[in-house]
Amino acid sequence: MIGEHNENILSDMLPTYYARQFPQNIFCRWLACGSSPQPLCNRELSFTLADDVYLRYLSISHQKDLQTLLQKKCPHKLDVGAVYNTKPSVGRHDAVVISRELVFDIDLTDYDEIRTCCQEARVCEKCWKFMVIACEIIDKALKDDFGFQSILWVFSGRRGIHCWVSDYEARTLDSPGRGAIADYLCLIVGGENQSKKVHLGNENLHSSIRRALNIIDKYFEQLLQDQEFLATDKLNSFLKLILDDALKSQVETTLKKMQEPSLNKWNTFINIYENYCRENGNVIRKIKYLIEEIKIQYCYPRLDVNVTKGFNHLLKSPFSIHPKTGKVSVVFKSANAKNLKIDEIPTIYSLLDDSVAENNQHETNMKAAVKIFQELVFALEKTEAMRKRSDANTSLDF
Amino acid sequence: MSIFYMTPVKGEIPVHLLEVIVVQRLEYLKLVLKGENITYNEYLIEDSLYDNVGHFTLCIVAILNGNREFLMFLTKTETELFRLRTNLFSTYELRCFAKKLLKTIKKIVTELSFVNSLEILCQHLVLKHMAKHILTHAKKCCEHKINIPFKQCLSFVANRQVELSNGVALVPCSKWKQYLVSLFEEYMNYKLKTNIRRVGVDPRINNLVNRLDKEFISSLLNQSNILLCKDVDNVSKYFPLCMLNLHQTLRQKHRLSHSQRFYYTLFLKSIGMPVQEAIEFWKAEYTQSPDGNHRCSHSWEQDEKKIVYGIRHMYGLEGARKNYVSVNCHRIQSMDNCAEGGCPFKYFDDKKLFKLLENHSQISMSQLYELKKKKQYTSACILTLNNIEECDNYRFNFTPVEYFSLNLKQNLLHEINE
Repeated sequence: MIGEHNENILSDMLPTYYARQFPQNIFCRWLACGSSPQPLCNRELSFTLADDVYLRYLSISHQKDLQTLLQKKCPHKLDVGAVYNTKPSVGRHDAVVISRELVFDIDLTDYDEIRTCCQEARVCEKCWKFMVIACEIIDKALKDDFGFQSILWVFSGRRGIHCWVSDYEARTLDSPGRGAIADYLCLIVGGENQSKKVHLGNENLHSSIRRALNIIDKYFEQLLQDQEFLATDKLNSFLKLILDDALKSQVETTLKKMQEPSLNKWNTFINIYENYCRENGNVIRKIKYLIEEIKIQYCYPRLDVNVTKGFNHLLKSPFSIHPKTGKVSVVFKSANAKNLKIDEIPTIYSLLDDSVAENNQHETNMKAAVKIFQELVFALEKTEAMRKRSDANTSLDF
Repeated sequence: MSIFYMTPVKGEIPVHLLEVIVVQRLEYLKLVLKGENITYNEYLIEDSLYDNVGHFTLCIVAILNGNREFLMFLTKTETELFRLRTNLFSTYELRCFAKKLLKTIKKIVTELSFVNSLEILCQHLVLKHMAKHILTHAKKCCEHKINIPFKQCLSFVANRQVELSNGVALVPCSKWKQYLVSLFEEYMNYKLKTNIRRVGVDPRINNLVNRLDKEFISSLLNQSNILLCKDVDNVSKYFPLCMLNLHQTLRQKHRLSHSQRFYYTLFLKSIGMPVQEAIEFWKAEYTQSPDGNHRCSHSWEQDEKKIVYGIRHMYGLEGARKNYVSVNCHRIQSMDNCAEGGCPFKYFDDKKLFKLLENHSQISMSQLYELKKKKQYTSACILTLNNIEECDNYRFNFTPVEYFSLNLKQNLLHEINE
């Protein structure tokens, strides 16, 4: 049954899941490809067992090792780490990180100050849209701006998404490089003590910001209707985004009187803003991109930059089971993010029990997800093979 | 010889002259740091022997000494000097500089990837019409562009100052000078990581290192005091605002988010809190339930083992026994997603900043806002300390721990004088 979740029976069900459903073969090939030129056994894995026992510095040499390890230990959590210069169990603290996929972690709890439909661990169709937008924006940036091709998107199992970039250029990126990419993608700055978190200046917007705004515009009106950002009790937070006092008081007076949906209030706000700018040519410098700043603060991806900047951060593996929800961390295509429905994501219960109503649908979805993973890994293997060949050729040049 | 300092000059020089050159250079660089106008000094004539010798010897001294602050000082000031010098270039001088550099690059064998980018840049700068254009074009001109792999211009990428396409950054001519300076800085960082232990065996060099150590590297105030957990509330009035904020948030909500808890623990460790006191301190807070607003799911009952392990790890008693250093202002000012923390001068609304400044009623708010606008957050913070005299040394690697040490020292002196 959907919704029924019991962490205690996980230990009984996981062995079957790992043996029958978890795509061991493709997983090993993905890791091996992403570890090269280092061998697969230099890749760190970590397990968290039933009683919160944490095992680090694990590694495998081939799929058979994985099979054995999974059956023996039956981990409740499976994490993937970096590739070291030696087997992690041998090197431990002294091992040096050689490479690691470029990763991104987007969690809906970082949107708690924005989303009105859910808070904390809860997630629904409405707030899932934030993840759709985030996925589209980041995917496009990684492909068009940085030229990355092997981009894996994974549902985190509860309320977020992860992104793994396996291109050689990404894997071998050092800490400053990862930091620069994280900073490039980060537009929302500031913590709890700052109300207005987006400042775009008054010069021409960078093309990546324009592109992100185009993507946001596809969803903004729908989001406004779903989330009612400008509802009476949310109006004050909205007003804090307007730093020009005269404009702010005009907007405040007008909007507080309106008893209409947020969409109408928003359009009214646009009108006030445009009139204000026309009448006060001298202040336009400071509020030139106010509309854009607001849209970005509400919709732009909120990344956990520490995950991206960290070289040896251990991140949840694709197709692992989330111990708190039982859901599978499925792989999905960025173009298909908007069609992903939380209820249709396979769970360990629905997959292993054919009496469950959703069993058929979830099994289909699971197969589809594994296929996407497979396609990505095949493409990655091909690219890696070509790269190795051209490297070999250049080294023969005299 | 070039002011990019890629190759050290060869030859012999009397030791006493070497000392003079190095000391002169060091004094000159201190003036550069203060932002004073670049004046004539016979030991720092561009492309001269003394200039080259002085630069490389000072690098050697910095590497052998190992003091992190000194290394940062050298990188910052040499880069600034380079920037000032190249700003004064005429078309002819720019072309000569580029030509010389291209010759040097062709001779050296290196895997350094940014040397490729330097080469591309110089190939453009050596052209007559390009050099002329660089010195006369508009501030935002993008008539000419060079293609640089994004990895070679990370600071431009991080600040979205260049357009990217397929992993290649299009650096417009208006940014070429800035790019040249950033390449110089990158090369400095590379040089200062060179392993030159063999040179350190020479007693004459050792002498020089020791002499400069005494003269420049003023020892940081020794915090041999032990901080007990019961005294933290009292002592918090000497904390810098960033740590005071964390302390107050912790007392109010009984929880801190991950990074903030990490930074605050390290801060307390650096100002003298022993590990047992730290455990008691965090226990006192985490045994209480979190104030409604905080969504932390940790509690002492459930997570004692994890929390204690984490604290002990930070004290170098577990795992890799890493010696964690307390975070510096630069890092705190770069935490874009800082939850309840961050540098108050950068990340806080005015109202919240004002509240934190309650006990600093004597400072000039207008001066503070000026500094905030100029993004000089550390300087703004230093305003809250009274009687700052020799602060130049601290400005680019200021840390909350130093703020605390200075503040404490000032107040103790004040009490003694009363």
